[in-house]
Amino acid sequence: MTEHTVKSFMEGLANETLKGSKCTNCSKLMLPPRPICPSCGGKEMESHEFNGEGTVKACSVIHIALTRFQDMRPHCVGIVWLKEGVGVSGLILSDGKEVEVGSKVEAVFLKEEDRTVLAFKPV
Amino acid sequence: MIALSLHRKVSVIGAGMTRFHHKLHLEKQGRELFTEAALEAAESVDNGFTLKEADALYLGYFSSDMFEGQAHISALMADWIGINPKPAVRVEGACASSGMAVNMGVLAIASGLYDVVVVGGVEKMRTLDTSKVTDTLAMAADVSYEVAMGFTFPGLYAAIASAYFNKYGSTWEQLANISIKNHENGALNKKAHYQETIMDIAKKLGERKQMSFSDEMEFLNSALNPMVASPLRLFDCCPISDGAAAVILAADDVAKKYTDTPVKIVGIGQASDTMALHDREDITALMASRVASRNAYDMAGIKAKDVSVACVHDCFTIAEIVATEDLGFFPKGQGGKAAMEGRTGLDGDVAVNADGGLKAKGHPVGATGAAMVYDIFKQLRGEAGDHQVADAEVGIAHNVGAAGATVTMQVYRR
Repeated sequence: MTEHTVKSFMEGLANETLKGSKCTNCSKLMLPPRPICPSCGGKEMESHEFNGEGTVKACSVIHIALTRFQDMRPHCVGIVWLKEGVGVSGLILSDGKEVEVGSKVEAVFLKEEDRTVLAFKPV
Repeated sequence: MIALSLHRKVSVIGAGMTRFHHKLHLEKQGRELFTEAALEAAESVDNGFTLKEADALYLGYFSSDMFEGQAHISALMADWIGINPKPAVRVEGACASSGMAVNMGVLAIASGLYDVVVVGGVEKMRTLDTSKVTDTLAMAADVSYEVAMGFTFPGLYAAIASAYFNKYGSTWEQLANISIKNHENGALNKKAHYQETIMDIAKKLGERKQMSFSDEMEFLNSALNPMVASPLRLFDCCPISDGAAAVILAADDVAKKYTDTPVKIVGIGQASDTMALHDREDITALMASRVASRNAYDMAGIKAKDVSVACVHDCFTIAEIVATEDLGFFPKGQGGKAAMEGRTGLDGDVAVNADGGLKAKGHPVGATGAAMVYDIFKQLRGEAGDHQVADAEVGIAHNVGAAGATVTMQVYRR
């Protein structure tokens, strides 16, 4: 079983989907997916696909970057609050500039050689 | 359920630390730094103490594996400080590693198993260049879901600042003010990494670049204070330091053998929060700081207003503002303003980071929680020297792991 694992999330990104979990007991949505519901403790999950639209809750332009992101420097990262009421981290495609908190964004999927990076672009 | 008191009371009877620095310790390994701190701690015990008298060692070291290529560091340190066959435990909670080690030491004594333990921490960071240090520190965040998307460790606190500014209308000037204050305090502390005010640094760097600055803000707004992760600039971030700190804990009933002036640990707390910042609805406060501090205050039977000297975890300037609110010193959204008014200065309502904080004293990650205890121990005994806070009665140490997924607290009384 690779449902509700890091692997299932990453495979979701590769297929340009945001795959998380929904607790069958209390209906809480989780992204990335989890095996245990942090709200009710439920252990029965079903797969839930998020549509990728949300608003920027916080952002920062990174000047001292991780080794893996040196080529993109400076790059903007943010916490996006999705319409479904969960938060997720992603790159923000804004030409290395800050975007206003509250800006509407949608998910895009950046394909790299060995992985797909979750990003958001302003709409 | 959390008990409101421990079965056996615990005190600090000695404390030592190396100076924190980026150059001084380049020729030394972590083992040598921790040994230096442990020996100083032993020598600080009033009626004499040898490390062999310790029943156990609890050591915080965030990443000996990445920084020194060395694991099994607890056994190595027990061997190096000469306490074999006493048990040694490495505690890892990112930047809260040695805050956790202190709490573990307290619990071990309170359980009745041990009478005296050595607790402390070390981090030897300058083995790697800035980019590799950035990679290593980012391992304290959620590597799969935050770091994989480009978040650095400063980036997470920058996100907190971004949300905080948006919610409360605060500006970067309030952050800069924290840096100015902590450098003024660090200039008075012989153990600090940077014993220079921001003006001292502005003059020094300005001379090299043939620039001059009329005040701190002009310097902090200049190109000599580059952006790290907006809105955080270089002087909003703690430096990358090497260093170690060690503290000797004893059961109250045996502490009197060692000193007439122990510093009592009257409350402890620890709390966890979501690993990823994005999983929290409100990122303008650290829930784990609130829970850990309330638990520690309740055990100590005090309120926030009773605290006279506070070491809070200012890995970034925004973190100090948020901490002074989470710990109950000021209402939400007011921490920056309160600091601007001087209420957190050495003679303020509560002296916050009298030792210079992580900003000026330095932040060898695993050593920080124990280094806070070092300063509180000195403050409550009136031995802090130039940065002594007058009549310090109650002190706290607040140590945060990464962006608040772990927080530890202790309340101390003289």
